[in-house]
This record gives sequence, structure tokens and C-alpha cells, in this order.
Amino acid sequence: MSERVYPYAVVLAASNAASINVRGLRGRSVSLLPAGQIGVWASRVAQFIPEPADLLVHHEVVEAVCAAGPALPIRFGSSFPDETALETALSPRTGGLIVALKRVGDMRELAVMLEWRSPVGEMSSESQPPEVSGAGPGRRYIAQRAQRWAALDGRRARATEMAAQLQDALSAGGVVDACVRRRIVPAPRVALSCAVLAEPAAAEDVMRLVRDKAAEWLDVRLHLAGPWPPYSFTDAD
Amino acid sequence: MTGEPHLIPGLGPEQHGLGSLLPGMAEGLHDNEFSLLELADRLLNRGVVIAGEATISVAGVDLVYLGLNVVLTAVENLRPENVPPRTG
Repeated sequence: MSERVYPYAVVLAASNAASINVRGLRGRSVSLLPAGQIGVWASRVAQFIPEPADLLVHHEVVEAVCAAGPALPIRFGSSFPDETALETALSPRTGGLIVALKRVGDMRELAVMLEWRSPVGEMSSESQPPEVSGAGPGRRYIAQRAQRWAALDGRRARATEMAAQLQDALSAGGVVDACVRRRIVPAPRVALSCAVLAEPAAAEDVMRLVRDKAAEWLDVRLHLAGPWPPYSFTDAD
Repeated sequence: MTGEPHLIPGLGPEQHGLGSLLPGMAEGLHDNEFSLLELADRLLNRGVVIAGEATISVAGVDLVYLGLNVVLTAVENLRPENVPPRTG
């Protein structure tokens, strides 16, 4: 069975360590493959059929690479027939990857989620039954649907307001807008999901800013995680 | 937090995302669950995408049909018994 090349992260060719102390997928070694001005940390694996346990192995390798210097994580699940195919696939993007690598530097990503304390439709202002006197089941159904959409609109507006307030707090703490990626109500139970890029030494301060701000909001529960490799900041923009 | 995967053919990973998972959770997320969810979301939906030879399945499930509820089920299998996940 032919082997394939499985990549974990992109680095600047001149700035990363020559070796890292971590095993890759299926216990394979991880090595740096040169690709012009960049390099790719990768393993050779047997015909790659990913398994759930591979997710955290991928993460651990990316963490080790990032600990050694600036790196961009590669999305889980890509494999190539050989090093040449990998380099060919990367070469058109080399310029953008270098820009992203220099922008990210040694910064790490913090994950911030605001979870609604009450499911949509269960806050007191959302749960009044619609008044549809004398209506049949079809009209009542439509009224209930409209009420739910209105509740979701209200939640979106509230989440947008919190996102703006959080950004103001982060900006006051020196975190620029370009270092925050946010999704407003990405799911009915989630008000806000953010990725915040921060210097490792500043991570605790940023988390404290977020905690202090979120403490003002009684309708959401804060979850924080990281620092992680900059998974959400791999584009050149 | 285990359960049968709930797959909706035709929707991409972003559309499956947290939305397909969280309605099934009766109570708020524990921090460890949140960390694993967010990490799995990043591993599967973020990062540099290299066009071409990407393998697009996990345990036989195409990534384009892979929701975080599937990942969460998978994440259960990632964790050794009684060992908290390493999440940062």
C-alpha cells in the first residue's frame, strides 16, 4: 500500500526549528519539508483514512510546531501522494501564506463563546403565546413561527450589541479589530463565538478583559478556551 | 453527550456547526465540552486549505456532511477514560 504525505502546518523556511519533539499520526515521525520560501511539517503515513482520534494528534503536532516558531495550521484531513504534489499545491499560495505568517507571528488564538442561559423562546419577553383569536391551526402555526423568528431577531440584535461592547473592551485593552473573528448567533444556543488573537504574554490579560465584560451580562454564560494555534487567522487579510 | 450522528445531506460543515449540536443538549455546556467543540470546529473548519488532494472523510463520513454533533460523538472516543482533555 503506497504511503501519503500528511501536512500539519506551514512555517517560514528560515524561521522554524529543525526538529520538534512530537509524534504524528499513527506514531509516525514529523519532519520539515522545504517548499521554497516556506516549509511544511508533515508525516508520511499509510493510505490515509482519517479516524476521530487523529483530530487531537493533529492538534498536538500543530501546537508543537507553533511552540517552535510562527506557523499556520493546515486544516485537518488533507493528504498528498508525495512531497512534489504537496509543494505544487502550495506554491500558488506562497505569497499569501508568508503574509499571514508574518502577521500572526507568535500570537495565539483564544476561543470565546457566549451561550444563552435560556433557549430561544423561553425568555419572559419571548414566551407570550401569540394572540390569534378565532384562528385555525394553520394560522396559529404561522403566528407561532413568526413569533419564533421575531425572538431570533431579538437575540441577534442582543448578540450584536454584546459583540460591539466586547470589541470596545478589547480595543481599550489594545486588541485591534483585525485580531478578532466573530460569528453572531452561529447556533440558536450560542449568542457569540469569537476567536481572539493575542500575544502569549497578554493572553491572561485578554481573558480577564473578556471575563470582566461578560460578567455584566446576565443572559449569557461565558466559555473561554485556549491559547491555541491561530486556526482562525490563516488567511492573508 | 453521545448520540447518533444527525446528518443532513446537502449542508456544509459550517451549516452543521454548533447549530446542529446544541439544541440536543438539555443543559448548558460544561467548559470541557465547550473546549472540545470549539477545538474540533477549528480543526475541521479553519486552517489553511490546500486545494487538490484533500481527503474528505473521517471514519467514513464525508466532511461535507460532518456536523459537530458527529465530532462530539467522535470526541468522546478521543478521550482516554477519566482523563480530562488537553485543550490549551
